[in-house]
Amino acid sequence: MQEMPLRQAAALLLEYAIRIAPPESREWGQAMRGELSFVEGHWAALAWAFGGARVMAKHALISLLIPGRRGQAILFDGGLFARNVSVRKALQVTAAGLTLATLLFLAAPPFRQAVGVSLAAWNELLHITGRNGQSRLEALAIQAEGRRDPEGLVFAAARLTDARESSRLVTEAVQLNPDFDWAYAVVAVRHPEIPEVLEWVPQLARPDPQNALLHIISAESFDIAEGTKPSRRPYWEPREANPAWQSAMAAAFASPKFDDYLDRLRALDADVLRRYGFTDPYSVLAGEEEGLPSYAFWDCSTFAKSILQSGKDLEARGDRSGAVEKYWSVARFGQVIDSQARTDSERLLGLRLQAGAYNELRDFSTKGGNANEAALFAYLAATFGQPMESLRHGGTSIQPGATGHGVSGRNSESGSLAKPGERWVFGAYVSGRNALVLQVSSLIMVILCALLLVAASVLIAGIRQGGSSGAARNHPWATVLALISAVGLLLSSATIYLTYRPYWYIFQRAILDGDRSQARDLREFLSAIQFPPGFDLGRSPRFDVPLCFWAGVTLLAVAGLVIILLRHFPSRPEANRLHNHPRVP
Amino acid sequence: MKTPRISPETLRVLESFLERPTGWHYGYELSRETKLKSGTLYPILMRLEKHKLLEARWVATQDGVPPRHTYRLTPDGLELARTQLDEARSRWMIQQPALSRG
Repeated sequence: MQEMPLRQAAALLLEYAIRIAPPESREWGQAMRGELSFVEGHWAALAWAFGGARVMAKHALISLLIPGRRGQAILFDGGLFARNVSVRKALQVTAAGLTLATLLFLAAPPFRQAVGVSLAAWNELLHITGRNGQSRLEALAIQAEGRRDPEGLVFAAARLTDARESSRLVTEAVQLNPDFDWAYAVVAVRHPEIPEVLEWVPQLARPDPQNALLHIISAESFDIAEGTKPSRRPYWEPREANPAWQSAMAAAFASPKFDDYLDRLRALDADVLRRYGFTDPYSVLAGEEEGLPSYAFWDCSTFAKSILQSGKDLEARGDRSGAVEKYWSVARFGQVIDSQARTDSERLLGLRLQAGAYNELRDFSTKGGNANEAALFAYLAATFGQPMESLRHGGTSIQPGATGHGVSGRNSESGSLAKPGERWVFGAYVSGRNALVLQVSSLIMVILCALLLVAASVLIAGIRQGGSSGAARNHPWATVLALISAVGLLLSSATIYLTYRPYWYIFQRAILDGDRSQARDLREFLSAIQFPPGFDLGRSPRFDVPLCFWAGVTLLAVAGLVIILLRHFPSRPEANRLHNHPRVP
Repeated sequence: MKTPRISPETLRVLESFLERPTGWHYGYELSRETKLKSGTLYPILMRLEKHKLLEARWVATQDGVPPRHTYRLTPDGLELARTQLDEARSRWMIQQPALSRG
């Protein structure tokens, strides 16, 4: 019979499988090896060998995990540890193989992104790096400048925390392409302290004069520029004294439109991310979440309060129509913001203004004896107040059973808000739980990496001193530690990969394909993963039954593995005694 | 000793043995008759042998070719095979083409 390479490979495979099989199974391996010569066809022979090798491998694994089962003797010399392959050497090879398998995960983009995201919380806690990836954004800006790419410049300018650099980049972008003048507003919202903002606003107002955002930016700039004030006043201080601020806010409240330009910013994200290979979800999404900054929130709230107060004053003086007009002006501006809001802060502001205005209108109608109107306004105030409370107290926080579907922009089940066209895929609770799983897995991975390094160092040092067998004999714990660490590393890496994979796809769809219908889960996930377990602001640590259960299962599994491995460390006389199985011819 | 679990594949193997009840059978020959792959056939043979339902022996071959393992049912194995196949046929549990020949 002609020995072709395929048949030779089949024979080698079976012979190797027989070597790793436990002695009581080797006879059967030899039987399959014997038949191999008579199998017709080289491919059929290879398939025959694969089947046989599978059987032998299964028996080897069973004998490794359950030594001496069913009353059989513990055959330390056989199976995986046969002949010149010592137990420890086999374990070390297994550990190395598992570590290599873990390294293969690095080839998967979801895994790389998952590791970066999962370590964000620990980075923040340990002050290793900022989670917004400013250095990567700066590198992107340098590349964009080199390519004279206005889109790249706007992308970086909108996300950099350095106001001067942001201003410089956006100016350069608009010089390259004047169509990007809207980016001035995006940068001005984030950095109202930039002196050029007051020059930018008139430029922006020419094509978009009815946008309330421009007046809000102006108001803040006037506020900052007022007098020779060295620093901004606290937001809670009243601004009524500044006429320029009041005038700008009055113009904002009279505006029929609110546009934060986030749509345009998102539109250029996909191109920029593809062009520069930028895949940091924190940087991308963080830049988009700042539709309306906190100062604008408080400026609008303060101004709304003053309008409502002036309405009450008019009411006290008997000017009922003037009072109603004041109340309605606040409600109308709240509707403008709410209907065109793209971020939670914008939505919260819109709801807050409306709830406040409808409360005043309810009181006004009650005093006027119009019970029906009062009931309607009470209903409206409650309708806009309920989701507002949810948002203010962590509307995007982890809520058990939050599986909402956006209903007219509001989540009717959880009370939190959905952005237009958004829906839950997993829900806030599952995303929060996944974030916790990823955090814990990443921490375990880091710890196991350290343990593996320690074990590997000990083994390598031992080998250099006195050969591999001597080293292993002197430090059996290092072999066990290496194997346990490698197993844990592989499991934690697989957990990280599988847990984050759906979010990676959501990120790809949201950023590269522009389909943000599922971005809510990703935002919730990234929001939850920012804080290490127990450090989540406003959330007290609680006894988590499922987490404790799985932690217990993991500990038991690790303990079981340690016991199995320790039982497999043989004494050589016994191994020699059981070296050969009597039935193998 | 308890009898092994009688799966449809095991029944196919037993039926193949019953075609020549006292003859010795090679593994590859059984594989071809039952259309079972080595990874399925040999665990069945191993279980049957462990339960003393099957006996095995080595047969020398020409120089350079490894010896062959050959099998036949023990008296207990023959009895079990007949019983199980009769039961299976009577219950219409067996729908394998090989059995339809009998």
